[in-house]
Amino acid sequence: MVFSSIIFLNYFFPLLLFCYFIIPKKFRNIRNDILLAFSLIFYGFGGPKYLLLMLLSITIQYVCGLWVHYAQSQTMRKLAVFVAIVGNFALLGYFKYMGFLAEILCSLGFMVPIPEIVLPIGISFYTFQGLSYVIDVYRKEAKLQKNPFRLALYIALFPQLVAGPIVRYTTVEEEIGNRNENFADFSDGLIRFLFGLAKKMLLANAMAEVANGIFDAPASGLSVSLAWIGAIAYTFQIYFDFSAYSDMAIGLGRMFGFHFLENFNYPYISKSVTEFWRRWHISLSTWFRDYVYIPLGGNRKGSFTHIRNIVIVWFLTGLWHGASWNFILWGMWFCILLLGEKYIWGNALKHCPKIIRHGSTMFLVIISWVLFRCETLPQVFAYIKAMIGMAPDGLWNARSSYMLVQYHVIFLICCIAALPIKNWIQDLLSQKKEHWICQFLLSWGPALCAIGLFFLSYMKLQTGSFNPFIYFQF
Amino acid sequence: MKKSARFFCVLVFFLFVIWHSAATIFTPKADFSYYENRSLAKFPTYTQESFWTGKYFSNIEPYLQDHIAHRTQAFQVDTWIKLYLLQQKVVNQVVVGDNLLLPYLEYETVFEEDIQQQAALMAEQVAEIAAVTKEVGGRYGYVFVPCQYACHEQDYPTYLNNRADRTLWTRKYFSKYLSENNVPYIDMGEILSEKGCLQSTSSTIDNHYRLQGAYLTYQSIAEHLFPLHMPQEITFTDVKNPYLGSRTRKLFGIWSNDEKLQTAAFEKEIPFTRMDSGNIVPSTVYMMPKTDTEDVLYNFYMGGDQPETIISTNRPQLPKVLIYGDSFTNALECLLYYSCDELRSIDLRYYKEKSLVSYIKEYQPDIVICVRDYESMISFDGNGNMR
Repeated sequence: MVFSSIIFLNYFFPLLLFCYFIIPKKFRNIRNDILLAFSLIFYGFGGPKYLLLMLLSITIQYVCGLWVHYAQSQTMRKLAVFVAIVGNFALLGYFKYMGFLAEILCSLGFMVPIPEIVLPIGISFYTFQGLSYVIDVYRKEAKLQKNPFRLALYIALFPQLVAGPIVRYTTVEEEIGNRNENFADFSDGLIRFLFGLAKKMLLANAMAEVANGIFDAPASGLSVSLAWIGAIAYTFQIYFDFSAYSDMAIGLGRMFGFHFLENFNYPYISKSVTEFWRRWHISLSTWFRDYVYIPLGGNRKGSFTHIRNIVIVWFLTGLWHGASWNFILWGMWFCILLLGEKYIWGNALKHCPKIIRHGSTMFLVIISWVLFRCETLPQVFAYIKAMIGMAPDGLWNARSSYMLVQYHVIFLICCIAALPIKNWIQDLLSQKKEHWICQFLLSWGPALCAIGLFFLSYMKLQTGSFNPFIYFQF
Repeated sequence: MKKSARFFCVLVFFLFVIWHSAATIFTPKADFSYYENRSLAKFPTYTQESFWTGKYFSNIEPYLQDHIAHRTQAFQVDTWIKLYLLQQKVVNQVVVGDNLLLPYLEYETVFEEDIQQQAALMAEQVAEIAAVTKEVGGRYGYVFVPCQYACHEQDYPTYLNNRADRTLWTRKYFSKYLSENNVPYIDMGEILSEKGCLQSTSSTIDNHYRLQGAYLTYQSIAEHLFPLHMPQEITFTDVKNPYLGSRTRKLFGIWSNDEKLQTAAFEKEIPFTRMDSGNIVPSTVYMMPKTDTEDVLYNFYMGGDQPETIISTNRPQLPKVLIYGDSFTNALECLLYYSCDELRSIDLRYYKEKSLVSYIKEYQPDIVICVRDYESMISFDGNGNMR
């Protein structure tokens, strides 16, 4: 099920809220059970057979958690973590990477059949979440969860189940058993959810029209300008699509009393690639930092180990996004950029004017999204070639004009929405809050905007075609 | 944020969602979307497999999307925003001009050689039909008519595709190969341009020509292809009802225009009987609306595309005519029956009983006319599948 769908907004969501909030707060376990049941239904909509897989994943985390906690020796505790890692990656490996592996073997001349395996929605997210629980219990950073239903609720909790953010167990550990749902959180959550819905329905989907129209067309029709328009459109699309999902997830969590950590922090205002990754998909980068990079030694064991660790982390980050060379290339692209910033041009960059730092960062990020969006390596090369001036249809063609004439307003809105305008306006209004208009806007602005945007988004929902989130594929 | 603002937001959201959910459940369900001209999704059928794979659930969303309450109004608001707020040039696949709505044509790369080759093949096929007609003692003529985008090539913004090259090459090579195969033809684009009425005879809101355009085509057939018994006097009358062309339909009726459909009256009425696909139907060529206010569509002429229509005027001194082609034949048939003892019309997109060749051999018409527009005339689909 998708948040931006009629079935979710009109039926699932109101019914869940009714069933949940009709139960008094003191019956925490019943409220949790209701939330768990609805979360399983939410996930089951994508195919009930995949529920079994998720239940298996939950069982692995639960059993391994108990094993880690009650094991007498350090060896046994390590063994439990090892089993959890193998179990989780066996599931992920089979469903996500088996086909890719078979393709590689075939290309090397081994005649193995390529299995047609459907990727269960959200497997990459809930596998990482579950694994973080076992590791945190091992590290004694989290308490053992003896109640299997509470652990199941953590892993299956519907807001962040299928496309993140990757919520660490320690973030919600306390709130699973003891949280305080209140009206302020509920309304803040709803407003956040509505802003996320608008990002998806009004901006991401509009940019998808542009990006799909350009990326899916034959490369022979590409001009330099068109290739750039397509790449910029996709840059906006992926940001508004993914951050919209995170906004909705965080908002929904807040309505039920959970406080998830932020996943995006205006990444397109970054002035370096390092900064970009501190602002983009924060939950994934911190997961890799805490569970891969630091355990490997981080930057504490000399330059060689540091470089090796960064290569491993970014290879895995690329691979996590998808079983394809494009994603690996994408990961390695960032690996090179981050190492370059650390060891080669980072210091020089710091002394450049802000506009150059920002411009160069965005240039590199836009190129990275081309690697991400293209479906094959030849398409990547053809597209990048067009972007750097070797386009089959010259510098500017009719389609470039059309895209700009047709979508210039949306592009402009996207540019504005990608900036922390909201924060600037809020600061400005706070400074002049003695004026009644500023006071009114501070008090009513977010609510009125949210409702206005909701009506527009809902209209798009009524008229648009079904449009799943990009990160569902991961 | 004030508590009252929070309360307002939560209240409005839930009242709206609950009211709309109920409205969606209790609103009677339609099978067909009038503006989109398509069937609406049906509630998915349960099977064990579709349940376990999730297909059953995923098919519920398209059903809800098609049947959600106030869907048409949402489309109208959405279209209005695109047209008037965002000022988009292309809205719902329609190019919006000054008092003119044209089809959006996808960008394409066309090669002259490909068109030449296809035109040659199509001309060969047409020549075979002409030969079969000749075998049964009849005469064959091909009429190509300009579709709306071809009449308004110059009205497209320079950055949009207007298919000018494709149209030019199609006409050039198809004419050439029809001539080489000795198939008589007329190109209405050429004739209408010479008369200076290429644009005025084309609809501003639909793909087809106006009735005046059909009349000039009728006249040109008589003048250049076959001598026909023609009316001495003809009177055109506007139909009062608002005309919803295929383009205004795509804009959900919110683009106002004053174009009207017309009827034609001859100096004397010709009584006739009409059969559609073997069934006797009322003897009329215009589907008059029940009220003065309801929209009329282009299917006003002949009731739209029919697999087979037979109009008998019981005047044996006049020829038996067979006409085939796409919907451009409809308005023409409203006039052409005047010149026929019997007028038969078949649309090979829907007529599947026998092949065109068998039909001609069995029916043995005096005249066979094919009418196709520039967009489709060298395509082998639909009415291009003549063998």
